[in-house]
Amino acid sequence: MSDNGTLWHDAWMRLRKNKLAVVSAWFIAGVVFMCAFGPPILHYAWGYSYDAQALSYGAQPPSLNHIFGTDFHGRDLFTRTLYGGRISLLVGLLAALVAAFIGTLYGAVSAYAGGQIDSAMMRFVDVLYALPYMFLVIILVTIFGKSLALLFIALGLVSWLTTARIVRGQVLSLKEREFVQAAQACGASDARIIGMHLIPNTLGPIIVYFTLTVPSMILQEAFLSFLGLGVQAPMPSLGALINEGANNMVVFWWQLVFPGIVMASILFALNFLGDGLRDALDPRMQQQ
Amino acid sequence: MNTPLLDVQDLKKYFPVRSGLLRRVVGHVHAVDEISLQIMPGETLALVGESGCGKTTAARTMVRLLDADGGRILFRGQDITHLEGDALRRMRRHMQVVFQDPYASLNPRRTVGEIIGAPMVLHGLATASDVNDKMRDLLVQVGLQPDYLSRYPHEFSGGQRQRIGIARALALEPELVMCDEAVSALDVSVQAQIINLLADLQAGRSMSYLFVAHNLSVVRHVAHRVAVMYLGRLVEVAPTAELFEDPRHPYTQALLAAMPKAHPVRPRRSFVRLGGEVPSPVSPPSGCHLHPRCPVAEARCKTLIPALVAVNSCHIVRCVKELPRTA
Repeated sequence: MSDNGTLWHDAWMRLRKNKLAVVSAWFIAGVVFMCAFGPPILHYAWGYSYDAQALSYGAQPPSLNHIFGTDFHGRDLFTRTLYGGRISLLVGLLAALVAAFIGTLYGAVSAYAGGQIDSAMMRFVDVLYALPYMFLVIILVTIFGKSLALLFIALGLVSWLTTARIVRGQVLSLKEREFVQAAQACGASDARIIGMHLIPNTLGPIIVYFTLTVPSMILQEAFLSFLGLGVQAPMPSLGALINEGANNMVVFWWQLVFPGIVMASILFALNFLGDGLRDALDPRMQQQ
Repeated sequence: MNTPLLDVQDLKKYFPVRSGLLRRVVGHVHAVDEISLQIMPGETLALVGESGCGKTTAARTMVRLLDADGGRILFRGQDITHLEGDALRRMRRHMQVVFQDPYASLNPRRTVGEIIGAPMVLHGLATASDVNDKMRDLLVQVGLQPDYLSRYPHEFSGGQRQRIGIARALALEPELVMCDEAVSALDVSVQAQIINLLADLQAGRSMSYLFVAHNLSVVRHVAHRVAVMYLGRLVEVAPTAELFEDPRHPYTQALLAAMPKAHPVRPRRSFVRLGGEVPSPVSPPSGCHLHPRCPVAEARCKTLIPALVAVNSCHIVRCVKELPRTA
């Protein structure tokens, strides 16, 4: 029998021992900080912005003025990369939040209702699973137009399925525990039992899956931007920058290399942190 | 005689047995088969029987944690068998449950204060301002420190957790508390403490217990009356002293014979011993369920389901004959 209170504490201690996860967490915090406060500082200090073009200036290789170089339109690539990181992280986080929210609620309700309702709700998930889901996103984006808000809603709408299955499995076993019956005996409503007693006890797996969803969402957004369905110019995203850089990589190598490195290191860090959390929250690791 | 607090009439609870690809219903487990019981205000009724005989199912059906498949449940004269929604939730205040496993029955994510306080606020028995005082009061009553309120369940031992479970049940000032094997998961020394606590709490208020147990020594100590179940049916109901002195049903006699003895060497009345295994409740034996194991069975036991016969005004037994006393 695992004690969830000490489990959180033990998990935290285990996570702190995982150097890779700790470094990744700090790295992500640094990237988030730079993406949030970098662009305004760059703008006020050097007058760089992500959209003001200086066509006569043209593409410059990296220098002390422009550490990432400039793009074809003479825009500072460092500023554009930070902006792109902003968009990518935002899309990744919000899409993963939408997915976690829908998936948790759907899975918990399905498992708690049980029986025929559970079967029907899970068959619906199976059907959605069977659809090629990038295809679904492309259809949603073409129908509802290309806006940032719709982009993460569309991504979130098609990626809650796994969360729903994970949460359903957890709740199925939790709802047989006596504390749920005790809550029923005390006169708690179904909504209260799901919200106060079941979902809080599934938070561990939800958090782990959430941290692993964020990088995959960033990757999906990059892929959509690569197809021209994501963020629209002049707004950059890491995917759009890499797409642009890939077109010019033979001559202007820095346009591909720097956004590529930033994106790859963000993805690595998020995955390392997710893996670290998964290991830390796994009760089977308790002996170590 | 005044009206019973809980009056259960011909209660039935069946579980479908499904099998095959289409999950077709191939039979039913008759977990509770036409049980009738009354619990008086302030009384402790013990429901005993071996594992799988349906005693927990019966008790849970009586307090509406499970839905009955037949019969009626009257609580203070009101039919609660088919109450739904808000009416059911309001009624739950009056009948609370203390569960068997103190580790599973407390939500690990909630503090003791939340566990005990939430039901009180939910039922309007306390307001945000006086809930704290009431909770501290309750903790003292169940023998815990009042400043435990902000702690989480994992910080407590099994016995302390069971006290928290009892405090949660008492928080709603119920007339009936169903104790579902409430002490069987605890150490023997702690069992005694919890049982004495339950008895003390009952003395302080007019509260009835429905005590589900398989430990007859415990039952003998706490119960006013005992109901014995075998494979979903009641076989004998009697006041505790009378049941232990003068068990009429062969199954009850076998149960008593199986009790651990304080003085194993000292000779005592030799009671009936049962052979064989408990039959599957999916296809129980015909007639009297006990006949394949009963040492005094007759031919008619195979076909005749005996009715409950009153031995005296408060002792009923379900057996085809009066047993000769094997003194």
